[in-house]
Amino acid sequence: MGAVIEVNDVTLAFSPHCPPELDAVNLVVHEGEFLCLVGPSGCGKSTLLRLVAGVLTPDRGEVKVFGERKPHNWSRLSVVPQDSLLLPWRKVIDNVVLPLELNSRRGDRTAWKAQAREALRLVNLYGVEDKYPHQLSGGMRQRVALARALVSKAEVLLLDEPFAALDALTRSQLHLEMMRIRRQTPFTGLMVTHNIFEAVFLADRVVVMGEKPGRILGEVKIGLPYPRALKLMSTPEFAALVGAVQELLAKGWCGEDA
Amino acid sequence: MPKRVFDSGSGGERLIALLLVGGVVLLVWAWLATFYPDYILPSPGAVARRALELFRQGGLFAVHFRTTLAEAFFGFLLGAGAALPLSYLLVRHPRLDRLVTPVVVAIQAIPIVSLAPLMVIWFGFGLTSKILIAALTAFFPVLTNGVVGLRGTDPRLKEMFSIMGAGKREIFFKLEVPSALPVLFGGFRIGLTLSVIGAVVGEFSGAGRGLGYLVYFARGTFDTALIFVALLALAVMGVGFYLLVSWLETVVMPWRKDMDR
Repeated sequence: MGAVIEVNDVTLAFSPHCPPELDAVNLVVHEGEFLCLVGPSGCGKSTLLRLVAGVLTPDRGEVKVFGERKPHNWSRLSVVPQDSLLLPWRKVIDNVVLPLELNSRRGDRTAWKAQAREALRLVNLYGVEDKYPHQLSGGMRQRVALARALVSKAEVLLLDEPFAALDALTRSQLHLEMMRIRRQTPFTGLMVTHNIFEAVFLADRVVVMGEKPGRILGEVKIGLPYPRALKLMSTPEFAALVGAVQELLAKGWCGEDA
Repeated sequence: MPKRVFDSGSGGERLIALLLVGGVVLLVWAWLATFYPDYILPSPGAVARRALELFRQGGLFAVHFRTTLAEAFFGFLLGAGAALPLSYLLVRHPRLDRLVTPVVVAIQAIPIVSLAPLMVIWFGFGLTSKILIAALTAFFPVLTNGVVGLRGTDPRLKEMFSIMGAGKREIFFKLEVPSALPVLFGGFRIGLTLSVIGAVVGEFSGAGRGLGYLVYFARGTFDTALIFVALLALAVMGVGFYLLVSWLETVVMPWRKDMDR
């Protein structure tokens, strides 16, 4: 398993008067792995994601995706943002087509649409192609955002708290969908979340970050086999893993003696 | 489906409501008119007769309404046509913005009423001076809304576009322009209404035709009924322009049809 995302000794400060947003951060995400970044708000996890996406450049250190520094090959990397960020003036199908449209100068729109329909099927959305985003529920909009990220068959998915704005049941439903989608079209995932349970449930590995300065406190390997069922969340093994993550978080807040 | 409290109702209901309100206004007007001589407050009937008379002579629509309509409409097109590219340039080049905006604000501070005589002196009594005055009045709301609209793009969407590999051109046409459209149309709506005012102000300062000229001329002869005819015609034009912009909005932005505003 080769490394797909490499973050080497990255430091980034938005202002010289504040503690750095990220301080000497190292992170590797391997091919096919699903890694969750957990940490308090302001610990720089979204910043780290934007560095990997290539919209920010580090002050020190380097970020490599597929062994290359910026600029990336956009078609191999896509993003699922926090609140879906669909274009309100485009119908669902045209929102999903967007990455294909922006990536290739010329192309066959009918082929793109077929690809978009396939992506919508993959996220279990039917009969909404010609609807506008505001006509959908929050959960459906997030599914469309997922379809848009999957449409170009990207190998790397960067997910920035994609389920944070959803209600608990819709969130659980989408967790299961994520697992199924990963089985159907394998990808490497890097996901930022506030939710420890979500992180342990979905990830192969959970990396815990601390704040002021943003740094990595440690990681917890989640050895639980896939596919995972929701009832896994009420087992002692699951609780132990959640406890391990919580311990790391507490270490960040209270120092080593916690 | 339960009705919302402030439901605007179906088309038929709205028409009935409109007729009712119009009827009440007419009745009150007719009643008030019995207390005053015609040169103070003409009755609805007197105004209608005056309008018909003018119409029969072929002057009301063929000359005056059409003149003001053309002045306002082409003035708006000219003003908006100049304002839109300028708003783009101001957004793209902050240095130009710092240079040009003070000048624009200074010109805007001059009341159009006091600028109109100058335009008539420079460009004559014909259409040109009126079109220029209407263009000036329509220019500013379109410019400010253009700048606000183009600056208002969600930065997170811009970031997403660049992650997807979009270039500057694509970001402009596929993101910045569509997301500015609602604000731009707000500017068009104000600009088009103001251009009617600009045209009338222009006609006040010297003209031989147009609804503003009609008011000016009628004042001199105490033909109050004629003033009312001109005012009503202007109101009709204003409503027409408003409906035109509303219709264009639904054509250009179909996604906003059932969106909560």
